[in-house]
Amino acid sequence: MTELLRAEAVKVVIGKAVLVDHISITQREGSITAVIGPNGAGKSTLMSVLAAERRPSSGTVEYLGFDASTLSLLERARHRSVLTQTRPFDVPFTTWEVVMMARHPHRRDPNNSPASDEEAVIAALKACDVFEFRHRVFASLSGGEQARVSIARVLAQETPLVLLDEPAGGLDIGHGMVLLRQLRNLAGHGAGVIAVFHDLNAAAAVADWLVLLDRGREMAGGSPHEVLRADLLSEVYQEPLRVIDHPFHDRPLVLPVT
Amino acid sequence: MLAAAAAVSAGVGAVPIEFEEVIAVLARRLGLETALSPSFQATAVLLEIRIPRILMGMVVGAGLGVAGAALQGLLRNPLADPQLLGIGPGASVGAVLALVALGDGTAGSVAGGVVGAMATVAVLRRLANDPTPGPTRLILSGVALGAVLSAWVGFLVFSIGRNAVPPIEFWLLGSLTGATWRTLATTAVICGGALVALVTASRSLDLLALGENQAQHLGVDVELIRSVVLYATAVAVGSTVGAAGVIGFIGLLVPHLTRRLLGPQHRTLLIGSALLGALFITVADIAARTLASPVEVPVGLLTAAFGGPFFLWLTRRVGRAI
Repeated sequence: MTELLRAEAVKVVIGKAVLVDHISITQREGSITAVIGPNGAGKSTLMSVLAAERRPSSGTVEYLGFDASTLSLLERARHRSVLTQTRPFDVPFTTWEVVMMARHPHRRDPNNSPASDEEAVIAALKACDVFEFRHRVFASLSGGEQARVSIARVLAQETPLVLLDEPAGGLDIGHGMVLLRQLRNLAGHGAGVIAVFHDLNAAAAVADWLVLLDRGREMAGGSPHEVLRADLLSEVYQEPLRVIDHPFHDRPLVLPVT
Repeated sequence: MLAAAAAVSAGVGAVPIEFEEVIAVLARRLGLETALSPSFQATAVLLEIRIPRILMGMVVGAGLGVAGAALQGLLRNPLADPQLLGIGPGASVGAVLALVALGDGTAGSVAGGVVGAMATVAVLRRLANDPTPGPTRLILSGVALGAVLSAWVGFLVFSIGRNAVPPIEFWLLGSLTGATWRTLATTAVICGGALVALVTASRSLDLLALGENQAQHLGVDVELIRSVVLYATAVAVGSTVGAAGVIGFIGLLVPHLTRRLLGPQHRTLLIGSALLGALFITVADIAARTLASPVEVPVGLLTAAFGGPFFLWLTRRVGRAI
């Protein structure tokens, strides 16, 4: 299995604060890694390092064996797509135009054509159930609808590696499940996905590998059963939590005690 | 529309010229025979004063319109305009210094305007890059810098510009008087080059709407685009300020109007803003020459006086159409 990403002993220090402390992650084709942890654990900072947006203070990030910081911006953009937490957006671009922006990295690719751009955009819009919004102005959509369009944009970029910071934020339970199926589907087609989740049960349901962060450090890494342990989670989240077997599938289910 | 406005503009002014006579002058200039023989005075007024002036207005309008549209796209802020960011005041300082040092002759003030505007952008970049670069810091730094530079302009005019010929006060209010073929050519070449550079950045400006991070993730070199857009804007604005003084509100109004008419894609937005800016100034200049004829109203006063209410009307409609 190809190693799409290998992060080795990554550390991010700003002033005296250690935001990410000695984290290593290897992401292979066809699998999903979920990054979990309380607010301020360093999840988004870690994701920005994995996206090669921020250079780590020490440690390395490699894409397919190449130091990510030596690749050009376009080479990176053809290798990995990135969804950051959503921001206000007030330019009156339509949904179609927004998703089409994801095709920018492929414009100089001789194998790419306007027709394949359109095909990718249409498929992504349909997969995220936003095809009907294609002529609507993006800024006029609801928060959850915008979140789905943003995921469609990531899909339309068609990269082997997909990095998502809280993709489930703002989604209703139905579209949340659609998202998890999409991620499975992506991995099924060979993509590697690394996603930040706040919903531990969503992470448990979808991920092959979990990384639990707390104050920049990796508290646990492994399968959902290995990482989602009541004692560990209660300590990290500072709240009594129980873990039971999910009644419908072989995954753990985290519940608050009170 | 632009051609029609130009034709009307050629006819009006302190010396009115009939439309047929305008056509006759132009036709003879192109070596054609005409039934009507234009008077010597009409030929001189048209070729030496009015036509360079009209074309200069178009260059200035196009430059300011495109500069405003590019800045709004770069900073993702509907308020961004060269005047607000201090680029206009910086150009004024440079142009006034050039006027004082070199005397009359707009080629000097064009160069002074460009140098002043580029120096302002260089300072702005230093101020705004520390500690974290971003649109908000750039805008705040620009507003502060603009206030200081405007004060300098006032100081220069107050202390050494009072006896200057032509009066610097008049130039500060924005005026197309004094446009000659030579200054027109200088301004058009400098400003045109900057506009071409801005249009080549249009696709990156589109992607910037997603936010600087996301644009960078999609392969846009945000730092490079920021430099290109800011410096090209400085060149465009500096040359227009040097040529015609401070003509307010076009950089703000024209991009908004164009976005409403043509949508937000920067390629069409920038080209549309150039045409609309040119049209807007041509019309404003007609008014400047006719309202109080034979006395001329500074065109910058008119663009602000009529642009302001128009802009308000436009923003009130935004909720519906965008």
